[in-house]
Amino acid sequence: MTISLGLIINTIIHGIMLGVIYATIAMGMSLIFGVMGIKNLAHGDFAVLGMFTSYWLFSLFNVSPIISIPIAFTLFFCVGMILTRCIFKYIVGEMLGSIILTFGLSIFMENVMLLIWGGDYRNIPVEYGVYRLGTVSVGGGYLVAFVSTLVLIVLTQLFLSKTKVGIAIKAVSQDPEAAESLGISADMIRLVGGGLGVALAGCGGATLSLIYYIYPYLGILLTLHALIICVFAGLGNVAGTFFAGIIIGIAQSVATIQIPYALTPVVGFVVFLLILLFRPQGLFTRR
Amino acid sequence: MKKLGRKNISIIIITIIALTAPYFIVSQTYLLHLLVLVFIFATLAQSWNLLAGYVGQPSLGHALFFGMGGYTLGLLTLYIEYFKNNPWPALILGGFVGALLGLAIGAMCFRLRGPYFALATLAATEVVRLIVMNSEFTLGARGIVIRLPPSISTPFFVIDFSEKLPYYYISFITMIASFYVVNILSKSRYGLLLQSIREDEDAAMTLGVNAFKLKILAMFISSFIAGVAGALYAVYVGYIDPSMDPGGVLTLFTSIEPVLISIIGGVGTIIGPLIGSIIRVVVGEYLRVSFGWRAGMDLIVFGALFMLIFFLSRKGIWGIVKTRIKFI
Repeated sequence: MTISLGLIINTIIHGIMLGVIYATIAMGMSLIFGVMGIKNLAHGDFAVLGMFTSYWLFSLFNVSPIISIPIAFTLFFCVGMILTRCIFKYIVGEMLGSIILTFGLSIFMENVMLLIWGGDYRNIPVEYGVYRLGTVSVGGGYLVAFVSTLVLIVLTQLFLSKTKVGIAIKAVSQDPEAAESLGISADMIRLVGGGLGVALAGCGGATLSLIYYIYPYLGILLTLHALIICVFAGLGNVAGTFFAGIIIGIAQSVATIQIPYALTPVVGFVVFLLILLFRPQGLFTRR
Repeated sequence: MKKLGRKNISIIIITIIALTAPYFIVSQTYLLHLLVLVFIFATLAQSWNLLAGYVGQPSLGHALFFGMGGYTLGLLTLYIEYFKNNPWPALILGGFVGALLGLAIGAMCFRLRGPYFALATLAATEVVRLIVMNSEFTLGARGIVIRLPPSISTPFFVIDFSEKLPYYYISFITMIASFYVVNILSKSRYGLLLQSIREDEDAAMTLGVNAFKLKILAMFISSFIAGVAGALYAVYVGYIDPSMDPGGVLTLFTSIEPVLISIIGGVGTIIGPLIGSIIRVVVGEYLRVSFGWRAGMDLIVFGALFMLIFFLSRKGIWGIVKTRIKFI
């Protein structure tokens, strides 16, 4: 395969689009880590649930995947609040406990999905055409996913930086006790933060279903991608995940030019291990 | 002193029962098979337990050490003439390969606080799995078939490795050895230092504990045990592959096993992994037989059980038993 400029530009653009979706999922994880100190290892499974939501809404009620993105957001916001109320509340700030419990949750969810929906690879058969601009050609599905993800990320950022609740979420992330002493109910904020975090995962999953196959065991891969992006940006640094996601996305896409497709996830993991090895101080942006 | 005596007697009785038990159930190969699996997974779980329970660093990638132990044995028997006839030294070599990987990951992560170790082991396992999957040297996705070790003749009897009995003893001895090592370590000065790190790393370091060195030591022992368990598993089952399905030695499914077993049995206790392993293998096998057509059923039950037990007691079933029954 000859490497032309057009090919490289094309891969980079696809990398950015994929990276932004990963960033949405990672943002939710980062938010949950910030508010509750919980590393949610079941995060990718919520994204897969989001993908299935989109899939079933399409195949049962013929709902367009674009409309199912806000539906997934609302649904998973509720799921996240219930989850925070029932499980996360008891393991706030507990490192060993949170890793182990969310790991158990992940095993449980993945296998329940496998039991109910089987192990087939599915996709949503929607065509949005292909758009061309010079040497660059982009699938319509990618374009729709990219635009809706950007809207989602901008809205989330506005919510976190402009509204009172958003600022309270940041305050609780920085110092829960100081925030409580200023009259912020940390429990309430954790409820909202947990809801929003899971909602971002579900929503990211719903967008991802436009361009990716759907499979119950995909969750662990998505969790790993989200983790890599989170660590890259610094744990709990919500804004940084956007750029980290894009960088990881580009790195993986460009790697596909040279190495076999099956090996592309390795690039992300190697980046992750290299960060741990060489820039551990960069990981502690929050502290 | 009296308590110690009773404990020792009970350990001796259990050992005698375990050593003579096969003669009563030797015809029931399925039961022996389950016991071998119990012992191998108890060994693996004990190695995880050393890190999570005594050092407070949960690994989510023990499949890496387990699988690489298995692959070391597999590759040695595949390529080197000597090991084709005598794979047993490869058990130890598998342990060393696991330990080297463990040291590499430990050196990367143990200078950092927080959940980085768990995440790095998770990522490293997937990296190694994908490399093994796509490399021709390791026969890729086809996996490695490990040939049957030739039988050993002694003046009194012949050890035939096509039967289950030799594996029963080998896995039992391996398990006892690993439990013994972890027990000795946890009771020793090092064990106390490790537990002080788990409780409060800053305070421990203020008192002059070299946290990094001690964590690396624990990591070495843990990944060595896991590597030996993996090599033993490989030679017992006779086939290893890197696929993503349950059963592939380098997958998350293998990493899940020690976590499930230790949490259910009791993390941070010596006997916990054995209790957990018995429950995991026996109940898991029962569920697999009853719901065989739906592969994930046993993991659903165990995922739920796991969360429930963790909520009830952070020390697992052994913790619950110990708080209820005072005289143990």
